[in-house]
Amino acid sequence: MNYHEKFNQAEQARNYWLKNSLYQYDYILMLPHHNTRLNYILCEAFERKVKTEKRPCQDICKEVRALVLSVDNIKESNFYTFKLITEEVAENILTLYGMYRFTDNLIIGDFELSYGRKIKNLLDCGITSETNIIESVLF
Amino acid sequence: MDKILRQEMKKSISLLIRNGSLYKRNIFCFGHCNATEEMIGYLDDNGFNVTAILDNNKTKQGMYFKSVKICDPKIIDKYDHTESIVLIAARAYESMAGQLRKMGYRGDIVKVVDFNSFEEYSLSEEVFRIKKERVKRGLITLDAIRSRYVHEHLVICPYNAIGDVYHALSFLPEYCAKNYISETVVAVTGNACRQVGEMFDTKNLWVIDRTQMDELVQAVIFIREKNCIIAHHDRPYTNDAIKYLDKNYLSFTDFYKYSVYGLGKDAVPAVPTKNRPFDNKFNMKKSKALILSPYAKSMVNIPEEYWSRVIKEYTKNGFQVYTNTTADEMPLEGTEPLNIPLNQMVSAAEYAGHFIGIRSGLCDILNTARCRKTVVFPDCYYSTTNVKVHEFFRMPGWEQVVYR
Repeated sequence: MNYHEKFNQAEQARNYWLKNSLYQYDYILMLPHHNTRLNYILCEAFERKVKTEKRPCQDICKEVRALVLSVDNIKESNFYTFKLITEEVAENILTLYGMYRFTDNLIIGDFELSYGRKIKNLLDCGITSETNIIESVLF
Repeated sequence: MDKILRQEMKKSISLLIRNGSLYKRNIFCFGHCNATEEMIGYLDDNGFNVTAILDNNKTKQGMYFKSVKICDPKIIDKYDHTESIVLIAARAYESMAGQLRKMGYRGDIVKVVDFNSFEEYSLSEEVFRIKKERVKRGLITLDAIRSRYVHEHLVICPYNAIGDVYHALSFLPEYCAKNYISETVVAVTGNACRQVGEMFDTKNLWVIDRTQMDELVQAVIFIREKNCIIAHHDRPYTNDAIKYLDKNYLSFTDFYKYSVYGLGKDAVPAVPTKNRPFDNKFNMKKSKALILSPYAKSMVNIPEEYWSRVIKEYTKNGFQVYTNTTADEMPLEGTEPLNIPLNQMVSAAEYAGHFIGIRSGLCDILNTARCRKTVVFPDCYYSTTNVKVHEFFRMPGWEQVVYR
């Protein structure tokens, strides 16, 4: 893939983000792979996170607005909105996120993505568990 | 804080002073770090008092830097927002500013230093265009490297800090062996990091400035460069492994071994092979001198009283006392400046016999020196983690002082 196609991907992701008003969410968990076992665990952990957190808003606290974007149709919940996306959309969002950190609300449900992430190394060298990584790093 | 960033900070503050933005305002600084301390010092020099340092770290809240109290950011609600200004000299500018806005703060927020060109929480056309151009510039740098080093594994040391580069290079041979990598090219920023590369006898070194480095890193992330590693423990933004320290412990050294390179527990760090003899243009007395290193770029300072006490004690006992300085640093009062290349530091410390320094990359350089070595830690937490700096950056085999 040449650079122009990458920039087109990023442009498409930007349009998707704006068209779907994804900036309104406090947290977005994106699951870019068809790994049902892991995706289920990540959704459970995400649910625990958004259930307990509150959003400061002037003098009051409100429920956090949470969204799961997933290529895998796995787990809906009362605590977050679930949206099924194509692999292409997921890939485009990853490319946009690789262009700059345009939001701090995006949690990518993967141990190696976005490029540069190194938490898989912690797992591979045997010093910690998948559960611990999910709880301590991802959420 | 390095020289360029310090200049940028001073320029921003001077501009704010000139246009009246600080006059009769409640001035807050967000994030207690070395850069914030320097900023408060500069404001003080110009006659402006800081109302409070805002910091989310509960263990810092209630403490003071000079006479400025460190407070929960919520304290800002007690002040008239239109009469307040928040100055931020921290990497987490975007999230700090976002936090204040979410809290309902409507006053001015100023990014005093652009520590972090990777983040901008906006998808406006203008921001998107600027970031696209930035990636394109990074791709040009990457192409320049690749036109000379086609097959070499690109090892990027993204941050201008000698300790980080030291650790990245010390575990690089084990990483290469594990991954069957025969040739590398190492990209670093600045002269000091170049010197560290030379100490490890790095064959192919690519030295660029901070802006070029940020652009290169962004380009590498964007195109997901295959034959490459970004060898840093908490950069760039896509590497969030440092959050592991919120609930677990790993030392700085182990972080490079396990997290950066994915090596096993038996991996052994290499040591520099290109140290040079101390040329002693300073007439230093053998085994009767002390080298002090009171400056660290990314560590809050140790108060001058501590260093004065050390200088007094050693001088009384007949020692010569030197302050290790770079071009823009002043020696401590009562000491002589010592300004030598990094590759002479080990032999200089061994010649002097004694070294006392705040925890910085220089301590990593001196780790192999055979002399009396003392490392001084400020009593604070590392970055946003729950680990104290003396735990994370511990130096086995050294005398350790935690300054409280």
